[in-house]
Amino acid sequence: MDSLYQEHILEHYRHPHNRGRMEDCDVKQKGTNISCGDDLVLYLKWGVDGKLSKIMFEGFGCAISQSGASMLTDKVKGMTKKAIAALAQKDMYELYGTEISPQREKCALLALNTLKEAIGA
Amino acid sequence: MDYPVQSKATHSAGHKTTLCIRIQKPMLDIKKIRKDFPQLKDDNYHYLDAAASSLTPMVVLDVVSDYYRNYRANVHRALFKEAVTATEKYEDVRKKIAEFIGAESQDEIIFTSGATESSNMLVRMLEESPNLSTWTSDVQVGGWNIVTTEMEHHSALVPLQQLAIRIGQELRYIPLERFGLDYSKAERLITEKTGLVSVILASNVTGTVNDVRRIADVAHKHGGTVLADVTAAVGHIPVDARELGVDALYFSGHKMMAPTGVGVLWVKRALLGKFQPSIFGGHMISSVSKEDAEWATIPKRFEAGTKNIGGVIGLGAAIDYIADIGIKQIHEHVSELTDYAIEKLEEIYGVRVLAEHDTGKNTGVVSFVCDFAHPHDVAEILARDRVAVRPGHHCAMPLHEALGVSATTRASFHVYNTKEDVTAFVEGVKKAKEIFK
Repeated sequence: MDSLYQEHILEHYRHPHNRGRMEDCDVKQKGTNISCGDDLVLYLKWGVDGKLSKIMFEGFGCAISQSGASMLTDKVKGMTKKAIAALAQKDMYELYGTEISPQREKCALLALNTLKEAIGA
Repeated sequence: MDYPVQSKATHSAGHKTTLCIRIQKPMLDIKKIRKDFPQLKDDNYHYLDAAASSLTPMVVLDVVSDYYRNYRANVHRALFKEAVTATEKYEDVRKKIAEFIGAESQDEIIFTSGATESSNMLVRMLEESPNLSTWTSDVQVGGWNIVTTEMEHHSALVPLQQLAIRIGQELRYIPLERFGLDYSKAERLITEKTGLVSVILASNVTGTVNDVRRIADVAHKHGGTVLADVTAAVGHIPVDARELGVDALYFSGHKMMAPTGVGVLWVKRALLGKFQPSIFGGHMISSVSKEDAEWATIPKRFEAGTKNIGGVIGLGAAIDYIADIGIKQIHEHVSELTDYAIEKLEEIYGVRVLAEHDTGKNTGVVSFVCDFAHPHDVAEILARDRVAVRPGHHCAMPLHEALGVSATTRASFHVYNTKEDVTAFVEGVKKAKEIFK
């Protein structure tokens, strides 16, 4: 098996977590990679405790961008805005657990960048 | 033997008649040709990205190197030997290009940095030349529209779009009909109110060779000026300005085996004589005072600054290289590979080929989408197996929109490609299916 397309990445791509529309969201944020045709919409709902109570995504794109959205939405559930704002590229790459080439950086960071836009970070 | 000997019947009736001849006597020795390309020394490497940039043969590299090593000087004016040699070689290429594209005169040939600069210059010159009675002087009051196609590369399209925005005129699109153009719609879209028509000769996505002549004739009947982007066609099919019946055309060198950073703009003399230069600087003037400047003769006035001299000389060598092999032989070989690739791809369930299937009218481009994987993932799997293809919109977003997809994976062939390359490519797509299904 190819090292980029590890089983957990493919699993998130084939069976994404938190995928779908959220009608009663607090924030809806669109993100795109024009050059790749990757497309992502994040839906966020905040709890009264200031933590992210629910996050969903819709999208179309490559296995890297879409699995990234699945893994990131899992990770950030229950986190505060401040904690999400502190997430960096390396945190995203840790989720992938493999080396991301510069050519795929945009794909790998699409979900994180869109999320940061959603929280105004 | 590198020649696929079957697979004709289902795709291209036009090829059937020559098939038996090809089996008996292959026209080209592709193994020998491959040795001309240093990047192809490894047989397990499959370069299928000619539509983005073709490989460069050693003979081209050698003449460029010869310029930089032995007669490195700026062209024109200077009297020392190296400058004279550089000027002669540079101007010889101008003659060669005039012959290559069937121009009336070498004075109609302008060296540029590539198709993008050519296209931008052309649009600016059309806009800024007050002597053009059919264009700028009337455009604000006459309501001239601009007609182009959904198939254009961004390098042709975006300058036109910006022109349309600046002058507040309509930009009309000739729509696709399957993988070609809808000519009956073209005939209705181009009217006496059309000032400018710009049409791509061959698509860099579907490979389709368009009937530019047909569109040019309609446009000329209404008094319009016709431009053609021939970048994806040069080096693959004969390109003759007179036969195309256009007023201007342009291309890059790097898609026809020349170095990057060099290109050509050809404008019919009658039109070129009316153009004001759009780029100013050294070399393009005859005299400069504190108040104003006078322009040099044509074509000098359109070549401001020092051009890519080594690149121009390399372009000349590329034309010779292509001519030595024979453009028709190149196209025949590439068509066979294209045919074979389409046939094999379409055997894979879930693959949809978005390319001209009549490969006699395809410049060796096979774009496709897979229902099991995104184009980037397919290209990544192929890249890891040393198959070089390209994913994305290939600088043709309106075309992708018309095809109903946001991106495709594209394989594109040239004379140095083989059936083995196609096989490796198809195996890679099958592998992608295994991984992502």
